[in-house]
Amino acid sequence: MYGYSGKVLHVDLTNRKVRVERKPEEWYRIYIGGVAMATRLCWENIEVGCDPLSPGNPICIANGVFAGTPVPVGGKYGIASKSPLTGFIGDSLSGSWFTIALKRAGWDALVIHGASDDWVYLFIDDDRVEFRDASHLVGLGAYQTEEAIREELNDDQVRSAVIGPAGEKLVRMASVTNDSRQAGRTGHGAVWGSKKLKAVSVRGTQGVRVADPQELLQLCYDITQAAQGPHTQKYRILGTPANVLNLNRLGLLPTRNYQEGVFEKAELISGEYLHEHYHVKTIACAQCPIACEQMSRAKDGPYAGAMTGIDYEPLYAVSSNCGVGDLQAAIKTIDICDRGGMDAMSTGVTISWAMETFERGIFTKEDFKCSKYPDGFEPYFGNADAVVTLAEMIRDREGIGDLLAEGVKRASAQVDAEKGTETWKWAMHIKGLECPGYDARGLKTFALGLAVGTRGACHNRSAAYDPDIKGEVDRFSVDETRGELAKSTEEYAAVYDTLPLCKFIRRCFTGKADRAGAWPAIAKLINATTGWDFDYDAVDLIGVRAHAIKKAFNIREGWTRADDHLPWRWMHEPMTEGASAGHVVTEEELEYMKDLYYKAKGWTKEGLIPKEQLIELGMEDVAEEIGV
Amino acid sequence: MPKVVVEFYGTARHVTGQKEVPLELKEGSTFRDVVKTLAARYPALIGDVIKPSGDELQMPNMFNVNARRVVQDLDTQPEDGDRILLMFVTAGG
Ligand code: SF4
Repeated sequence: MYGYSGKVLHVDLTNRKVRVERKPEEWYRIYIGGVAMATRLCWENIEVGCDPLSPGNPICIANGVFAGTPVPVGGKYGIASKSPLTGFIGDSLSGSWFTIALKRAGWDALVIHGASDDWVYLFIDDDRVEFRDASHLVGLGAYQTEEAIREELNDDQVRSAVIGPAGEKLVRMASVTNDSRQAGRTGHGAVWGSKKLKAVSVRGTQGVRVADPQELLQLCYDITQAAQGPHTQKYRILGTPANVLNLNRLGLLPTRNYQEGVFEKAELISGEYLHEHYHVKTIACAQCPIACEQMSRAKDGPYAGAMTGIDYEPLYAVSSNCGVGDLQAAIKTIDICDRGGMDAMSTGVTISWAMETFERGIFTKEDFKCSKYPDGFEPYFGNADAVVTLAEMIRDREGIGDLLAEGVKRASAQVDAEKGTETWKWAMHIKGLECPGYDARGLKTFALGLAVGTRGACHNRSAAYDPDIKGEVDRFSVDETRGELAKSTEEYAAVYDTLPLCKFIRRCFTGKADRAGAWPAIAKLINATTGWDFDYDAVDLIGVRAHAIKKAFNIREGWTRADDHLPWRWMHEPMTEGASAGHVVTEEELEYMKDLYYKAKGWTKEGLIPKEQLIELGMEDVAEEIGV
Repeated sequence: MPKVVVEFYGTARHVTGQKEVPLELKEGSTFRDVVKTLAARYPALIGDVIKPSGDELQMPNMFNVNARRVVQDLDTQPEDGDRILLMFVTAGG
């Protein structure tokens, strides 16, 4: 086989044993890599119905088919476990050197089972696996851990995926970090922490064999050239923070826990302002000619010296959504999250829920006692220091941070059970995953995409904002096209997440980002790498299959139609200001769109997958277990 | 004569240094005429924002009128008082 080694490494932390599994080529053709392969491995290796923080939940990491080759933005891997936030599939992506090292070490994928009694890290040295004591690394931040391991192993080419203090403390929104990039969302870091696994470090010294090196190099050369042009200008020059002003103008920028979609200080947190005042340099993941990561540093004031890469999603979550119009505070908060190893989006949205709960008088100053403020503090919207402090408290599970570390769904349920309140009405999550930075009341196709999303409220898995924002449909109303649009956009995104390729490359094949523009070019890349004979239809099937295995996983874990829902606020409280004021997604609209979507998918009215469909996709064993 | 305002976002703002520009259009002007006027007034837009031909927007830039609807056909006409947002298709992050 070209492009793959054909081998999956299984590591049992409980018994400290390893084994090698060989997969047939047909399996690779179906699951390819990234999130689809990682989810499939999770399907094969999980104890069905297990607690996500128990030994029965495996950590599954799958390289991309292009990792370690010259294919631009192909240095990515997928990671999957049952999510401690949602109880459904938690599938994330990260990029850069770690996955390249894993591939060069001769492994297509890695499955970590069981749990260790003591803190441990794995050192995968090509085909040799060492279980190493990690007790001295406990408490170290994510970047420090990567550095400490490199020093300990005396090799600066060793690449590590690690957790920070948040993962150690089972913060449910904890992430996994490698090469300063995060596999965020859905709480992978907590799964690692529950296994007392601090890091996986890899030294890979072998090559990656591809079928047609000459052809592949030529294809890559052309794409790399295009990646320097206008199709990626947004990402290269201002990065994704350029979204702030666009979304604000469209009335979609989450503000004060999604109470409004317009933030009066949007200019102060914009990509333009960031670029002018705090941008230090732009960096790239390994294997990427675009470079979108805007490294930014707080220059003065209480947060001087804080520095991290700023993307739109973490930015909105800790700034406008908390009423904070101060980029230096946002940089500090995101820096805390990145170093602490936790998802800044979920952190920000959980903090904004706490702020609203405080402003409504349900929490009081007393509830916010901590070592920094022994008498407590007042986390009203706009209090930048409160956001910074709460991020630290969540990371350390200190004081009320212990409650907030459970994520907004569990935190609100606990408060409501204790106090008889209804804070769940402003708990902004879907299936337990905190919402992204687009207000769905003004993007109705996207509202459907989010509601039915297999990993909850995720802007990366559903690309259904695209037809809304491009104006291909009326973003404020629903019609019979939305089911097909939600299906088509999520399967489109799943192709990129499975190869995986960073989606920012999508216009660089032919100038057009649609299937017709990208799939033939992607087929050529796959064929030159693997020697297969993929065409447009085969590329399209990648996304269909990826989505099918994720949905199947959820069904087996107990998903029902009622889980495809939206936060109460989006369904009952219209915004009062800006271009999206006055709209909600009603129950009738949502149920109507869900019917359309399930029909477009060829599922039953209850959202279950017919056996024949799964058999046609080559998933006979899945059909047997959950098909109807 | 219709008067409109073009608001610049993202790269358009970055390369021109302008937040918005008021335009007085000839009767019957289309959105394509707006592109041409912008290209003539701000040559820095040509390349990343406006195609080298000077009469078409470079993808993924678009015109959104009054934050309500996206212009799908450049040969249609803006109305007096329109605020035309020159922005990117928003994605990712
Ligand atoms: S465009 Fe950005 S996120 Fe995508 S691979 Fe490059 S640096 Fe990484």
